[in-house]
Amino acid sequence: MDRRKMLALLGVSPLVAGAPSFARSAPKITPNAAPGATSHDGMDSSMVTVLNPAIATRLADRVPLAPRLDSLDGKTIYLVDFDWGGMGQNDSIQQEMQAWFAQHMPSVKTVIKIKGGNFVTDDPGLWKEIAAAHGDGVIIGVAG
Amino acid sequence: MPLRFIYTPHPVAGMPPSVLRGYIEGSDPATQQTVIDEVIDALTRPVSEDEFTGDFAPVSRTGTRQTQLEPDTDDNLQRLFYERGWTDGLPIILPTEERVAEMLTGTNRVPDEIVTEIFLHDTQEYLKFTVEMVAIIGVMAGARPEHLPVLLAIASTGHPSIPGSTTPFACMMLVNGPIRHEIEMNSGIGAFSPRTLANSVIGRAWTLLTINWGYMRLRKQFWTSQGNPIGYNNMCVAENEERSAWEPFHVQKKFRPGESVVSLFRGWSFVNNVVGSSQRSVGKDMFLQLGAMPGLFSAATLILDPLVARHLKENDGFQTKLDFCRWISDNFTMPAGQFWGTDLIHMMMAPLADQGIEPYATWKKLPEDTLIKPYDKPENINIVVVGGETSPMWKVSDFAYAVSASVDKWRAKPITDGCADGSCGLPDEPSNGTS
Repeated sequence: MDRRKMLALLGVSPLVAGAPSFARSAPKITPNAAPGATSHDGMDSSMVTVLNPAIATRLADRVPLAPRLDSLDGKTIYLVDFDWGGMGQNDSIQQEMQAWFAQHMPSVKTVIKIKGGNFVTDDPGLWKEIAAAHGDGVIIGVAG
Repeated sequence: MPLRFIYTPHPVAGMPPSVLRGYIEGSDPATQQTVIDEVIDALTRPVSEDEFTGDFAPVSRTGTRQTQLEPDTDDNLQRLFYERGWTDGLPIILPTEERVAEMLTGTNRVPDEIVTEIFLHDTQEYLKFTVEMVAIIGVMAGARPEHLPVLLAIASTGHPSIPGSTTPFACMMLVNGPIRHEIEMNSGIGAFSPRTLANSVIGRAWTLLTINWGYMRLRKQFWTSQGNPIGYNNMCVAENEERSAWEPFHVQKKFRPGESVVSLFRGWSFVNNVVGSSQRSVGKDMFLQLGAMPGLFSAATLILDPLVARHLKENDGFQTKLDFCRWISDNFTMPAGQFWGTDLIHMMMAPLADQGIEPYATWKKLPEDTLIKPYDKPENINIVVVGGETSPMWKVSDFAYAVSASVDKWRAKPITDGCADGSCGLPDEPSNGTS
């Protein structure tokens, strides 16, 4: 039985009994212990065992990614500005990306779109527009 | 939906085309791969089962957490925690099993109860944060068992103290109710200064929680260009309810007066008033400081010394906090050009004006020198009373209220009374003659 449950059964607040100081629960180390000194259990007395603060995670339930394109040749790629700066003032990096494709991969058609609302709001109409236009891929950019 | 993320160098906004072209043809700061190559790869590389394997150091993807780390010396473990990115850069209290067990006596909850679930957008993971994890963080921060209910209440909100942003976001946390006295929080003299144990370690623990939730992975979630020193303890403070002229903040938020509550705020900047306001009214002085704030969605937080609160009530006739907020809302003006000329306003509110949302649509059409009343929602102006009444001081900020959470459901100790002047927790003056 753990200490907290035991105290609760005794009608004692675990906090009152346990508080307040860390001084009573200092790590089991020997100050200035000589290297290699051992305790009665054979463990180096200067060694400390601590709990791991790392979190166990699980992957989110996922909607599978759409199949990737075999190549970009002849495809239409939408370059969507998330409008982080507001009122379409940040799509310049999309413009540069469009220029890069025009220069280096001219068979790729690129279309720049600016998402409506501010950068934290959705724009379902834009996603429908891209789907209706049979866009092959989307690059969504949010920039600071 | 899982997405493939690519990071460009920053800043992007306002950069000339040649710089942006350099970003596209240059390296992703997170991966060192060429950005445009990553773009093409993201569109064409077949989807694999295991591609979402981030490098979030605190996370174990085995599904089960290794409970203990390998035994090592105190110095080596301190270094390990720092190098793993589990700390705020300051030394920590090592979370030994004994210390964590003692910390857990501060709550009636079982160690494996889920307190909150954090979603990381870039690695598509849920982090399940248990009571024991919060206790570990509490130990690391230097907290005591009696502080744990407040930490659990903070954790239960899932709000990070340092949100992912290139801007210098900062947060503040306020404690109301009887637990302020039980844990000896300071709401009086020097309440924001680094002197009181509870204020210091609880505030620090919020940032250590944030770090372990994954919000400070460099160039993944952590992009703030200059950062903000408020993040060291998040202006952790209690309201001086006993000396305030008005009802406590948590009561304004519909909690019972006898309930213990933690409230969280988020913003960027604080301006301190200095000396007083003998040449102008308090309100007029505050207007000068509010004029330096953006007025985003009418949000502001004013922290008043009890002397100022009493002056506003007894001499200026504001019977409630909301009365004073309404007066600010009705009387504070700013040229429309100044309002819309602030990038933050342009970013967040101009798109709403463009969609026809009022009053922003009307404000957007006004000549630049026309005065508007940007604090049009007085309920978004927060007033908190803190201070030791040594001088009629106040602080004005652009902080917005985020959320409140009850502390009581996490507690293991009955309510007690005391600390009438709000200065709980201040250590006695040193006895060596210094002052």
